[in-house]
Amino acid sequence: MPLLDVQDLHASFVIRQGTVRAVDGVSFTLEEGESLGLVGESGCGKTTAALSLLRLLPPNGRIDSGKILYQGRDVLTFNAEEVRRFRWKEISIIFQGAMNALNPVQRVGDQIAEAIRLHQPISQKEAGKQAQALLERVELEGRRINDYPHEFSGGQRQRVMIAMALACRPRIVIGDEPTTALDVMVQAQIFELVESLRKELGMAMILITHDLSVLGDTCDRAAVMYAGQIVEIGPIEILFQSPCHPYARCLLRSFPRLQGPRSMADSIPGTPPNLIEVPPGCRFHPRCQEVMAICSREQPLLLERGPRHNVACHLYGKGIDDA
Amino acid sequence: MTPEILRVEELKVHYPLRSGFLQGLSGAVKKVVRAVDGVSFSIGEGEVFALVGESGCGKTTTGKAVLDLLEPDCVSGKIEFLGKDLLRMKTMEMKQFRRRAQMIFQDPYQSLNPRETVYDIVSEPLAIHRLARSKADRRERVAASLEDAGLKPALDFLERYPYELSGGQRQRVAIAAALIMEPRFLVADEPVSMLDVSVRADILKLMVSLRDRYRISYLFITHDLALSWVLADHAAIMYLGKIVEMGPAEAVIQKPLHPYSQALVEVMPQPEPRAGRTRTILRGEAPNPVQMPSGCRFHPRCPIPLPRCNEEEPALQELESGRRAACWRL
Repeated sequence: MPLLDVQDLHASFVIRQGTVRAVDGVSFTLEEGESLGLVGESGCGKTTAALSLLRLLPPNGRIDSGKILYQGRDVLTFNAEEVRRFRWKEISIIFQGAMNALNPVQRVGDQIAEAIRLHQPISQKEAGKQAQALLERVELEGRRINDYPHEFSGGQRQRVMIAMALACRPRIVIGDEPTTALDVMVQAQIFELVESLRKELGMAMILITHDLSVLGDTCDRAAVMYAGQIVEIGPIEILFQSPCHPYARCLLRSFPRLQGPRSMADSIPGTPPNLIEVPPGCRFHPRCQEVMAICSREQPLLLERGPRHNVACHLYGKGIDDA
Repeated sequence: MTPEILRVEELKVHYPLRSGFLQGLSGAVKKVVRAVDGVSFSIGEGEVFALVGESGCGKTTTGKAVLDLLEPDCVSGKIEFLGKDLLRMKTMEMKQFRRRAQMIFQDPYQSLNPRETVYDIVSEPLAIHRLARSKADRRERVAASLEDAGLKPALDFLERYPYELSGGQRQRVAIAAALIMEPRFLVADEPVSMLDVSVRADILKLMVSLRDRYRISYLFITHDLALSWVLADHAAIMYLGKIVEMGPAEAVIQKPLHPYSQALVEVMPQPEPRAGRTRTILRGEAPNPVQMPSGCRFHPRCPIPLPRCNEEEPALQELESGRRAACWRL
């Protein structure tokens, strides 16, 4: 049994213009200790999918259907108390902007201690000690538990976020663009730290990013999302070397390689569809270079193409029986 | 040799740090932030010169200084635009310069006035410089500029507001507003870092096509080495207010000489599986530019320091033809 098994997840937001189907039938599994990348452009539903796992959608968002099986139990059937115990203890999240995710008027030690005490019946003093140890774990000085978030640099704040995410020793950590606003050197430091902690503590990880190239250092597998759906999921080597889905190929080409040719690849024509009214058939077909007649009629299924490698594209076998 | 558009010599930008009243009375030495601390380079006509470095290294300050956008008291050194000293230009010359040198900012969500239409935004420079002969002429020029920036047909965009446009389209509007002055030189400060990867290529290609068409020179400011790899003719790597290495972009990125540039190249994330890549991750972060380290300012983080590195500062010396680096090891 996988640690996490997401089955046909649908989540949507209600806005004035209509219902945005941000996540529209997403399925994937995550094994113990494994690291999965979730890649896609802004608005593809990657963050919504991740927040759904923690049942953390904003008030205008809701999970419409599907299953999120964590160790065989469906998170979507949990009551409020079960959710409270589950969140952060089992799955925690490192948010993108540490400045916004941390409380600016509370000492970071107290913030970490609060997370610990929500799940463990220990004294404030004991929690403070643990917070100090956690800061040292992320290579900050323990005495900095008394500092406020503004006294840290961007990279250090992200380390505080990591310490906080580790506070309850979760089995899964979600990283939502954890290094987007950081410099490359700090980004490398953060990923190195996350990797060593992950190995040491045996945690699984879901890394959400728009930057395909950062997956190489951290992920075993990756899922490429487009317009609320996974279009390809498989081992990172395959996605980097021979991606199958035309969108995955375009996305990969968009990143110039230092060893590659000194020219810009073609961009992907058009824009992603509006998720209130999605195009019929394959959602990528209006922008696809290899579009066929069937693509505008039938939605391709995410079919197996190799070991742990699935692709949703009519180029590879019939999605639905064509007859 | 291509003719030179911009020459910068020993540019320094030092900001005085505000001190308390009592500190002022006690006559303590005023602290300064040495944001840019002796930078020299030149850009030829139609050339893309990349200034690469991490946040706080002074690359944006350098870009603003060469456009004379900073408090003059803080800036020293020599900036020559088409052979004329920028810091000594007369009013009329300065006006000419303001037309010929333009800037594209990083964030098209913040750089465009949300209450103005695309037409207002793009035509404003014409009004300021009183360049349009008539209303019809102005409209024509705005349309031509928008089409140059790839917003076609221009008529569809004239009356729209920024919020109606995508990030890529907004950046094109910003480019059109710069182009309408028929610039010779553009400072592009991280022009694609706020955009999704799939539209980045379009904006960069637009920059290249404008260079080819109008011989525009660029100072391209970026933290992303991969972008300078595909775009730049020359590249300079900055660290704490100084250029540590400079040369043809291809050479600097493929065979970096300075330990800092080497580390920067090594940590660049690449879409490749992790197997077999060795890399040096520098510890810590760049020090505070108020208290500069002694000697080479990179020595506290350098993986291979020498004894003399914390005593003497190495000069940016020519090593091979066209390549310069500042390191005692070389």
